[in-house]
Amino acid sequence: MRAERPIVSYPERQSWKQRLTSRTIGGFAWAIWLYLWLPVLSTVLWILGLRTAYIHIVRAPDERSLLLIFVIMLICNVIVSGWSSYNYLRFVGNTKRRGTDVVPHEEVGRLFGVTDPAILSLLLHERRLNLYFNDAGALVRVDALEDLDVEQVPTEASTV
Amino acid sequence: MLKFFLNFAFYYPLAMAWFWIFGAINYYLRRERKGPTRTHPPELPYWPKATLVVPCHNEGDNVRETVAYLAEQDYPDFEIIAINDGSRDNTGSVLDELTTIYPKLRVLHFPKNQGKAMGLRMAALASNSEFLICIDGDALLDRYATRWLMWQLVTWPRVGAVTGNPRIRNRSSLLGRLQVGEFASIIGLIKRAQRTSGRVFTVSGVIAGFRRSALHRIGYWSTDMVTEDIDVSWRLQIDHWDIRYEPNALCWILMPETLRGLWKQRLRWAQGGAEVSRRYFKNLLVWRSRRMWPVMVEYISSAIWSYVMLVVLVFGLIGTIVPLPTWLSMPGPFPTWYGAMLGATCIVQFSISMLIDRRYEEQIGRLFFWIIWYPLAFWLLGMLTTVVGVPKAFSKKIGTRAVWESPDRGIR
Repeated sequence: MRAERPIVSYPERQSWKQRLTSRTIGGFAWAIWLYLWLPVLSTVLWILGLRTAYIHIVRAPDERSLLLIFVIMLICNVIVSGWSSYNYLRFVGNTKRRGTDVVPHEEVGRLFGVTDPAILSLLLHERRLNLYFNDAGALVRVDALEDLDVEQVPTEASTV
Repeated sequence: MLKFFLNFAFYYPLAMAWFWIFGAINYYLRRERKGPTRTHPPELPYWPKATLVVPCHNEGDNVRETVAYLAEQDYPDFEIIAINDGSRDNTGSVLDELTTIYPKLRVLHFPKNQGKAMGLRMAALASNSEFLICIDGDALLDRYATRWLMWQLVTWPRVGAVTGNPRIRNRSSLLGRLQVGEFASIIGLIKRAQRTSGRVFTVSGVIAGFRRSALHRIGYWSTDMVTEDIDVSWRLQIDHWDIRYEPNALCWILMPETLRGLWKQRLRWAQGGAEVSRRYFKNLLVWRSRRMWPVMVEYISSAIWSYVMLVVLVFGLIGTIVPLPTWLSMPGPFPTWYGAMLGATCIVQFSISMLIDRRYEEQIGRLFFWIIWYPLAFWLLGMLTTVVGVPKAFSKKIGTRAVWESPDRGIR
């Protein structure tokens, strides 16, 4: 049976500055490591003739060149990331709306032109209702329909 | 000048694709990757009642299944309000029958077709809850969706609405499969990207949750807009409410599988976008509305792109028949690096979206083969519907009521 590994690892307990610093240093080290391989890379590229292709395609005097497209990609990323970071930093944890009250039902009814408490009660509690509107779209009549028993269910299609 | 427009026509779709890709990656890494899985939604601090709202117009064939799915929601306290909006089929009698099976179901009958917005308004009036979860009459709500939407609404008081993740059910034809790809690869990425930028263009009308007190402040849904979902989204955000995207709130929907059906649907969307931009443009010209600026800029530039691209295509076609002067000549058909990068961008976009999306649907990668058509179809259809929809929106008489038209629901 394998022993339990007594490892203590809580990277999330570091501050963001500590994390950023360690990642930057790590990334820098990788960059130096890659730099050491440059002579090998140069030899391979020279063999493949990529330098010639680079001069003719990437540095060609055509605005639809590969380079421009990569620039577009970079700009898109900078704009999206920048704007979203601004939004995140500016609005994260912002709870200005905490005080918004639940709207009472009478208030909702008033907005729709329904002030009669009896009609409001029908709307809230009845299970089947017919609603009638005038040509301007205002609610003018509400009829409650009786609850159906299973035996009362119509078998044929019908239009209300 | 001509060169500028040509460059705009060619580079705009490329740039937008990269905006969406980077935005979606940003969203995924920050909000999605380490989150709980769909079947294990987070616990809510408290469990207020929810009202599940289903406006129906001629949904007799679908509404049984729709209500059955609603009744199975994994949420402790909810009621269902179905609106039978002047249906000419048996929707009314089916709903009446369903009240005997599902005690939580209540039905509002409108003798005449009043439109979806009116149905939603009356449901808000009849609701016993502060929270409304609205779906369409042919949609099937995933068992955990209500909990996910309510979690967003209950936990964050700034949130006025939450839009869910519509998934296409009908995949019989190429058009159906293309739309599966569209919802995963384009709409999913756009929603995520817009969410990271702070504001969304619209909630999905087919699955969205709302806070009633937020709706009350803005006067609920407008009855005179062809796309009530875009309209309510803009007004909520102009009133500084947040709209969230909740990819775990799945809702299975039916989409058109005929070109005619698809055209009518997309034309309505294009007209709706233009109507909303026309009505609220002035409200956005203040610093306090700055978070809506990217949404507005994206909409206006898309509309301009549609017209520019149309002109480019027309001159390109003419150029193949009649020789044009040099200053009017279009680039040849040989794909330069632009073509290669566009192809690469498509593949990267699909791959990223599939990688993100496989959390929500198994074997989504099988559609990879089909959606290679999608970018062409998306931009072409978007271009044509915008070209037709914008003048329709600007010539429409303000205040005209929008009522139901039964959509194409694919091969059944």
